[in-house]
Order: sequence, then C-alpha cells, then structure tokens
Amino acid sequence: MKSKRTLATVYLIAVSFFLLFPLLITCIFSFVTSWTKLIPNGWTLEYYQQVIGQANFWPSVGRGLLISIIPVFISGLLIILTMYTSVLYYPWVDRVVQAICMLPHTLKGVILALAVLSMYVGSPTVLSDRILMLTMVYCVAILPYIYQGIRNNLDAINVQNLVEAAVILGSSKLYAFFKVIIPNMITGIMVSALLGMSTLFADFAIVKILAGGKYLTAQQLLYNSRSMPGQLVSVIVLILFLIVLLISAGALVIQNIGKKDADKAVVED
Amino acid sequence: MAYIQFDKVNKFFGNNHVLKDISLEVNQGELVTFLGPSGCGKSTLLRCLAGLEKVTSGVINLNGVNITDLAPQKREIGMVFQAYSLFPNLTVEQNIAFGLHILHMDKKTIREKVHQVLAIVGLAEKLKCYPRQLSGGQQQRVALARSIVMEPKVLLLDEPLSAIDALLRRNLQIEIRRIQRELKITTLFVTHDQDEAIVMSDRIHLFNMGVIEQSGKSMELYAHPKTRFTATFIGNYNIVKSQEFGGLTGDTYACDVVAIRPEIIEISKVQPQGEATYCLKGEVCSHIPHGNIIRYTVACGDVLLNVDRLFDSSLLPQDHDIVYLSIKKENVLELN
Repeated sequence: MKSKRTLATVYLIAVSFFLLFPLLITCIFSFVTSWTKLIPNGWTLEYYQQVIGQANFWPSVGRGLLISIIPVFISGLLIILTMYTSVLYYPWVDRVVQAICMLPHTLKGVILALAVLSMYVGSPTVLSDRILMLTMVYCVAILPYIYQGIRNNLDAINVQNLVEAAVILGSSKLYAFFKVIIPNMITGIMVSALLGMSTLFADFAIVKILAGGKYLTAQQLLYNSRSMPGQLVSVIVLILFLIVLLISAGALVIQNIGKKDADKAVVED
Repeated sequence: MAYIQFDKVNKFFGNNHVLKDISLEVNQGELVTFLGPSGCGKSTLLRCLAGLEKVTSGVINLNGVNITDLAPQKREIGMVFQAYSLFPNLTVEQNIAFGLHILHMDKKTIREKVHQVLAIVGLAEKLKCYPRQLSGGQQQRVALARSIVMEPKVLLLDEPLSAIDALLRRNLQIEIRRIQRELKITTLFVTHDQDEAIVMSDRIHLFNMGVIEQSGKSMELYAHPKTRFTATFIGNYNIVKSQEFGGLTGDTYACDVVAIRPEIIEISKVQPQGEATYCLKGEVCSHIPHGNIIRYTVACGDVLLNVDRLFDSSLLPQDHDIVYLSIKKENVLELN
C-alpha cells in the first residue's frame, strides 16, 4: 500500500516537472547573460530593464488584454441569454445552438479572418472598421470554449426544477435564472471566460491579418521580437505568462470574495 | 362549496391523453392524496393545479376563483418537489426567505417568519447551512419550510419522501401530518406508496391511466375496493377468477373475479367448522417472513392464495404441510 503511494507521488512529481520544465528553463534563460556550457555563464536583469523600458510594451499588453476581454464578455452574455431562452422556452433550439457554436472548431481562425476581411474591407459602413472586425471574429472564434464550458455547468444542475421551485415562490423566470441558476454556474462561466481570454491573448495571427499594424498587441510584439536576443523573448513570454496567471488568480479571488460577501450579508440580515 | 374543484380536466402531451375528464373536489384543511402507479397522471394533475402545466381543457377553481389560466406566481400555492429543489447557492435561511423577499417584506418580518417556520420543522440550528451540508430528510424539511412560510392557500407535495430511507420516511410522514394539522393547510399529496397514503390522508383518490379509479377514505378503499385495480393496488388482495373459486367452494358468482384480503384468511392444520365460512384444503407452497407477519402461499387445487399471519413461533405450518383455509363469506368481494 505504502509503496503504491510512493510510486504515485514519484509519478506526480515527474509529470509536474515535465510540464513545468519549459517554463522553468524560459525563466532561467531570461536571467542569463549567455549560456554556452552546462550552466549559464552569468546572471543579469538587463533584459528585463530593456523590455519594461520599451515605450510600446505596456500599451501593447493593455491592448492585448482589452481585445481579449471584450469578445469574451460579448460571447458569454450572448450564450447565457440564448441558453436561458432555449432551456426554459424552446428546448429544441439547444441542438441548433450547439451546432452553431461548434462550427468555429471546424474553421481555422485564420480562414475566418481572411473571409471576414475580404467580405467587409470595402464596405462603406462601420463594418469595415478593422477593430470591430477583429472583435467580432474573436467573438466567433471563442464560441466553442464559452459554449461548452457553460453547457457542461448547466447540465450539472437541474435548471427546470430550480426555476419551477422559484416560480412557485413568486419569482419570474428571468429573476430565477439570474438569482439561482447563474450563481450556480459561476465557476463554469469563469473557467470558460478565462480559457477564451487566454486563447485570444495568445493570438497573433488573426490580429495581424485583421488589424495589421493598427492594433499592436503583446503577442505581435513578441512575434516582432523573434530576431532579437533569445533572453528578450524569454522575458516577454514570462511577463505575458505572469499576466495571464494574475488574471486567473484575480478571477478566483473575486469569486471567493463574492461568496464571502453573500455569506456576510446573510449573517448581518 | 369545495375549496378546490377540478372540473372535467383533460391534459394531452402530444397524442398521449394523460388526464381524462378528471373531476374532483377538495375541502379546506383536508389532506388529500393522489395515489397511483407511475405514469397514471397524478403528478400532472398536481402540476396543473400549480400552474406548471397548462390544462388542455377543463376548469380549476380555488376558493371560488377560476385559476385555470392564472400564472403560477399568482396562485398562492406552495409546492414541495421530489428532488427537494433547494437553491444550492443559498443558505437554509436564504432559501426560506426567497419568496418573502419577492413580496418585498421588511427584513425584520422576514427574519421572524424564517425563525418561526424553522422552529416548526425542527431545524432552527441549521439556519446558516447550505443545502449540501444537510441530509436528505433535513433538505426535505427545509423545502417544506420554504413552502409553508409563504402561507399558501394550498400546499402541494409531489412524492416528497420517495428519495428518503424507510425509517426517516416514516418519521417524516408523521411530521408532515402534524404540521399540516397544526397549520390547517389544505394539502394535496402525491405518492405511489399505498402505506404512505393510508397513514397520511384524510381521503385518497386512486388514479389509473389518467382516470380516478376510486375515491374515498383510506379504510374505505382498503376494505371495500370497487374494481380489480383498486384491490390489486391497495391491500395486496388475492384476485381469483370467479369460476375457479366457485370450483373450490361450490358456489356460483355473478362476477368476473373475487377478491380476498390475505390477512382475513385463517390458516390452520385442523379443519374448522362454521356454515358462514368457506373451508378450503390446500398445501403450503412457501412461507416468507415480512417483518411482523408471515406470508404463506397455499395451493388449493390450481388456485394459489396468499395468506398473512402474525408472526408466532408456535405451531407454524411448514412448507408442504396440508392446511385448511377458512374465509368468511362476507369477506369474499365480487368484482368486475
């Protein structure tokens, strides 16, 4: 029994090391002056100073974040409202919604971007606006992640029963959905949103096609840095990773604070 | 005038005719049970009263008001579901206060009402718990509290005890009955368990395939079933074709079948005497203990009869023993 547990522990440590190894090496490499032997030749913070000191670094990070958050918010809201309608009023619509939301999986983002660009670029309307095009393409590209995450959560709770219970107590279906159903799905929604956001934050192909040089994001900056020293690229990768990590941690903290506030409100009542 | 009236209520799900011309009345303060097997329409009728299903035709009146097309929120009806349906993200207190908040009651009144109702169901100490922290029985009591705190005109209980273990179930049956009598709430209870229906109800409506097979007080249904279905569903009656039974007794019957309750049949190794009693000779095929009774299966010719006898270790007939069954003639019910 004990040997099996030891074996399991060793296995878990090995897998964790394997998964974290690239990140660890990137992190070490970002601090070295040069690395020509088994161990690095020297240590420096110079590359961090260079990256952080770049005038366009933080604005590009901000733009990357913004263009990741807005489509996630729009798609999430659309999916939630669609599911509210389909689950409670038109259950047959659900299959159609699922098929539509899964379509982007079969269509590569680059193809989608090129198709949208060729269709709307000459339009005299607001639809030819590159940033709008980018936002809308991102909304479509992350639909599968957002839909599936929310769908899985919705399947785990008996929506019909809970809404009926709330309706019997005098609530409207809409109130019941937002007061009872959504709070029970919040973890799934957050996970889907983060997954969608990190996918968009890591994109540089679609943004390059649709926005070109008009909307420089951190990923584009990373792409443009490929001819620079490897340490500089490592620093950018590491900073971007930390930003995504902080966003995830922040979301979890907000979620826990929300829960604690709700508990506190009950106590004060 | 009855408090609740169903008048020729019909309900179709597609081509499936689930409720067929149901007409029944419930008086104020009564606990009435809809009893029947799965799919007989009893829960559907309850949901029609709650407004969760629309009737295809017919009228439902509550306290003299036609509520057939009224939204469920406006019917002032409470309902406890089989699956509890407590809101997982809310505490016991928040669950119970949910409906009161919608009525825009002030916080002090809500708190008082929640405390009162929790005291009634005996869960005052669970105020801050989440549903996941409660047992099945406690969750069902919270669901009951959440309904009765609204002071509904009618309380609907849709198989509320079917997911609970036997011992707790018996306690909750008594508990629900006590609360219902204490608060004098008109209550409709749905179950497929005949024992539960007999323990809890003032009156029972027995459903079968979308129609009411028989209505009456518990003991009335038990002792005087009018149809074969009622005799089978309530009381585990022996149902024997009248011709076969006539072959054993020598009498003739102007009916399709006769029904005999297992517990009114006397079983003895000695031949009994008496003119008003049928005496049938048979062989014990099996005997199975059922708690405080033993159920014998006795073969009288080609007819198999179940006989219940209180468990008594002395002089119990064994398998393959030749025994005599005595049945009072008035206890043989003729059914079609």
